[in-house]
Amino acid sequence: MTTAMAMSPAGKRRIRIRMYNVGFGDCFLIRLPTKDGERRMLVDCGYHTNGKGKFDDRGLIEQIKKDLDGEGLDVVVATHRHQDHISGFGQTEQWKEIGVEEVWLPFTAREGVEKEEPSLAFWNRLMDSAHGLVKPDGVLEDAAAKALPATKSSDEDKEALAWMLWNARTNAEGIANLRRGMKRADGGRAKRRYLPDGKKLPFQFESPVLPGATIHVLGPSRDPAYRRKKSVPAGWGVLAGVAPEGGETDSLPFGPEWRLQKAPARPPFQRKSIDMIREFNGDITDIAAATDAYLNGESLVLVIELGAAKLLLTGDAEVGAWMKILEDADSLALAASATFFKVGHHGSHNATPLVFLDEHLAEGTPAMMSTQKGKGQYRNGIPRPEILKTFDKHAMPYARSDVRAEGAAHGTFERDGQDRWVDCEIPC
Amino acid sequence: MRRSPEQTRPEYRHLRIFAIDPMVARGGEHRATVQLRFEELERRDASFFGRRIEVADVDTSGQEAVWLEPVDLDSAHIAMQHGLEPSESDPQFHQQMVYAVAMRTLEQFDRALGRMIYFKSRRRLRLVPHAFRGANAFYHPKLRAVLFGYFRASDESPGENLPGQTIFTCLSHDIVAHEVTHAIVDRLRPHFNIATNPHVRAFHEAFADIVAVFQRLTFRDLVQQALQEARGKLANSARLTEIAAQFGQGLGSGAALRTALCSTKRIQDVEEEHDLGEVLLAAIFDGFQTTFDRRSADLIRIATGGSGILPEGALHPDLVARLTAECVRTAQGVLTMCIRAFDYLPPADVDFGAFLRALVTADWELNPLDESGLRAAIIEGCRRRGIFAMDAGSLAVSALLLDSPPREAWSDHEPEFQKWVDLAVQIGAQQQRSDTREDDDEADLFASGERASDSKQQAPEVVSSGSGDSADRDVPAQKQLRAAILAWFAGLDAEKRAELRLSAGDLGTVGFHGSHRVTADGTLRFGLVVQLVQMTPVTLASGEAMSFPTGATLVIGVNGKLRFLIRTKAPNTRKADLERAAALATTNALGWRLHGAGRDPFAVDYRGMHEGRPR
Repeated sequence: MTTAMAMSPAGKRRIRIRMYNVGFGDCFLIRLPTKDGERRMLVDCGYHTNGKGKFDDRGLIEQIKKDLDGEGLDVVVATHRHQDHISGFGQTEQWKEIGVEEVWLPFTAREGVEKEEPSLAFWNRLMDSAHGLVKPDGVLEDAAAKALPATKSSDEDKEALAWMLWNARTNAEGIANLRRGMKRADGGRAKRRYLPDGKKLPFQFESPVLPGATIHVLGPSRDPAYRRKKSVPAGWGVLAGVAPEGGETDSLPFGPEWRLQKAPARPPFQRKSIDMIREFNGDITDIAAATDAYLNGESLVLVIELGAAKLLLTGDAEVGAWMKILEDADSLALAASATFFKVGHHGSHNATPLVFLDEHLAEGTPAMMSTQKGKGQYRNGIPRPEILKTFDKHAMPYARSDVRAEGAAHGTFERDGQDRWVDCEIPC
Repeated sequence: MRRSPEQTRPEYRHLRIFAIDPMVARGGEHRATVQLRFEELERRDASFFGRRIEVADVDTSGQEAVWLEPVDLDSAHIAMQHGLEPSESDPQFHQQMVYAVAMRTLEQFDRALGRMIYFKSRRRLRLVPHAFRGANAFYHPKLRAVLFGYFRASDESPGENLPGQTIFTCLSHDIVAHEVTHAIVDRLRPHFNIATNPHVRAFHEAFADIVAVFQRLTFRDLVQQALQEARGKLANSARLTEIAAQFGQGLGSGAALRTALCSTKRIQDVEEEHDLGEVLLAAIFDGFQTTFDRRSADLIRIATGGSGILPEGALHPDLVARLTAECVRTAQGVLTMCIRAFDYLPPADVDFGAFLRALVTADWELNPLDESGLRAAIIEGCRRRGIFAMDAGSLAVSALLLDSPPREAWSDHEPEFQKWVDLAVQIGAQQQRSDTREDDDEADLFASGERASDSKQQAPEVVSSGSGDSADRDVPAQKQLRAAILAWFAGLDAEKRAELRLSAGDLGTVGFHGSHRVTADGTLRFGLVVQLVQMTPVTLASGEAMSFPTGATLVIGVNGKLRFLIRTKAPNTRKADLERAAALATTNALGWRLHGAGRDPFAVDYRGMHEGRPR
């Protein structure tokens, strides 16, 4: 037990959240004081090899083990299959020493899910390809560098491509460990939940390992349209300097007046041929970016409700996932009533609608952002200054994993002397 | 000539196109009107088509495929103005342009080879002018389609384009002609899509460039203006010598994709396949330029009172018109000569030397005296770049001419060959009589699955020009001829088979087509060209088990005499080439198969070849 954790005033129940400084990645240890005593939950466990923080995979698990102090984990959540969220799950030997009661994954990570949703096969294949195009140490393979079109072949372009491809590399060990490997403290098989377990969002459930807590699932949607790359809508707040993004039907070169109004009765190409042609769209960078956005789009978005506390955990959910939340009154009400906000996707421009902060989330709600400021096109603008300014505007205390935040009220947070983590307490 | 008021079917259809990439010469004459043989066009809800080409405008770049309304080229309003006005913003003009350039390209082959070139199984080649978003355009054999992409020009260095402007590859005459040529070459020599030596892919590329460049040099209005600007000097006109200028500049490279002029390199100095291809293109262009200069020298002398030194200022329009006529005539001559070489190429494993010999032989058969000097100039262009025919011994025309096999070696077979020629004559007649349009469908596209080069294929594939490969589309004489060739081959002894670079197994591919040629004395001679191919297994140093094509092209005269026998190199001499080709194999642009077991080191990846990459 660390000093920060011990400092909570007695008599008042508090949820304690530890954000590890993993660099560009996510790893949160959450302690929930349930009616049956403390329960522990780990949300993600990874970092990007080109954006390391204070730990490597092995060191991170060692630290988690130390912090657990002999206890196991009641829940392990892997929000989505990006390496910067799951790299640590590949340390299978170390994981054998940690009991895990339940593992929660997005439904898209279920084995054989392609049968239910064939389009997933396409994305899984893209992940396979990414694996072959970038080396484990994050350096592009020659073939990938050669595949870059001349308009996008600068060193920065290569760096950005390597970043996205490495993150999409299939972590076969990690996925296998999450799906099948992790065992309960008593040696039995940990229960797996692939969420949402139904079509309707928000999806709600309770788990015996978190007595008294209600879990609300706000994403991912079963509708693939909400998981694809989407441009940031104009009404989402001030996003100065962010270029419009392409790839949507409304940016086709010829307007509706040139198009057939209904599907042709005798199409010269069948569906299968069209799908074949579709794969030729974009260059390797576009495809890497689409895969990147897609994987973020499969993020589990959870509201963990315990007593008066509601923790909004967003994974790396991007525009599509947020559209779904903003469109649905129940989801929005849940998200808006959060008493803690895990900032999505390291603070990128397309994962936090400013309109949500401005109009929905209560003033003063504390937030945590696992991020790492760094060079390169991909990280350029992460974290987005407008988001930080909006936090300040609404007196929302926030902590960053990478640097000590300045300015606003930060009394809620306790930072480790060596910057290895930041702790936060939420009353419940 | 019309004989009644009802006779209104026109002889020709005229359509306007961009002759050079639209942004490159905004001020100058960059449009041309092409004259195509008239054919009936049928229009459906999502495409229009003639007998050989279908234009289907589907854009797959959005979340759902979007179909664009097909143009009605028969609409009186459109037809009366020679097609739609060239415009970048009118997608129906784009459809018109790909149709017009593709048909023009096909007609070049029809004319040079003396027969209608149909695609495999008499199915139409589909052109998709806005298929996807990407800086690429390519022929896709399995889809029987040429897919054109579009992309945003570079923001930083767009050349003569506007920064971020959309560039349509389908609006480049060069790109359309180039891609359609790939499809035609794949039709004429399907085994050229197996890259068994480094020249195979390079030949595919160079030949497609040759057709694009020289076809453009036949657009009189364009050439006339360019020569006026360049004061009669071809080499001064980027407009005439650059390939896909807008595409190349749009990529941010600051230059056209390629130029016919650039290379004085020798093939011995380059290894990469695109570089090799440029050497061949440069060699042919060199021959063209030498010939044009020689043909125009007298005109310059006449115009300058014998001095040959042109005065300052603009050239006299009459002189430019005459120079243009020489340029167009010479370009057409080069194009025809290059295409005609196809009947004399081996069925697989082509290299530049084999092309040179085929070209010289084809031209010599038609034009033994070479009064224009074009043939000699091309040979010289090749010599300067180290392109020799290793087996020819020298660069004298007599040495470069393909060898006729000793008459006695095949004299026993002449009666049989003569029967084949008779059948071929009947095929031509039967086909012309039954020249109806078939309904196309995609039903067999995924059922058949395998590439033509796939060694696993069982039934002999028939590559017969002028009609279908599937028996149900064959005219009776075609079926008879195929059966006759197979029966003859079955009875051939091992020694004779070895002479044809074939072994005991069954034939993999049988191809045949009749040929017409007008001899030096003006008489029309009929003949037959037969391709016989087998796939031979080989294990590469990497341990990969592959197979490669071996075989021969037989050029048979009307009397059954085997006039030329053009064979692939002996299998035992090809191992080194195969290893080299496998080592050079370009990977799929997106790495789909990089770590997969299905990687085929000999595959000609039309898509990978054309990705707009930095060089």
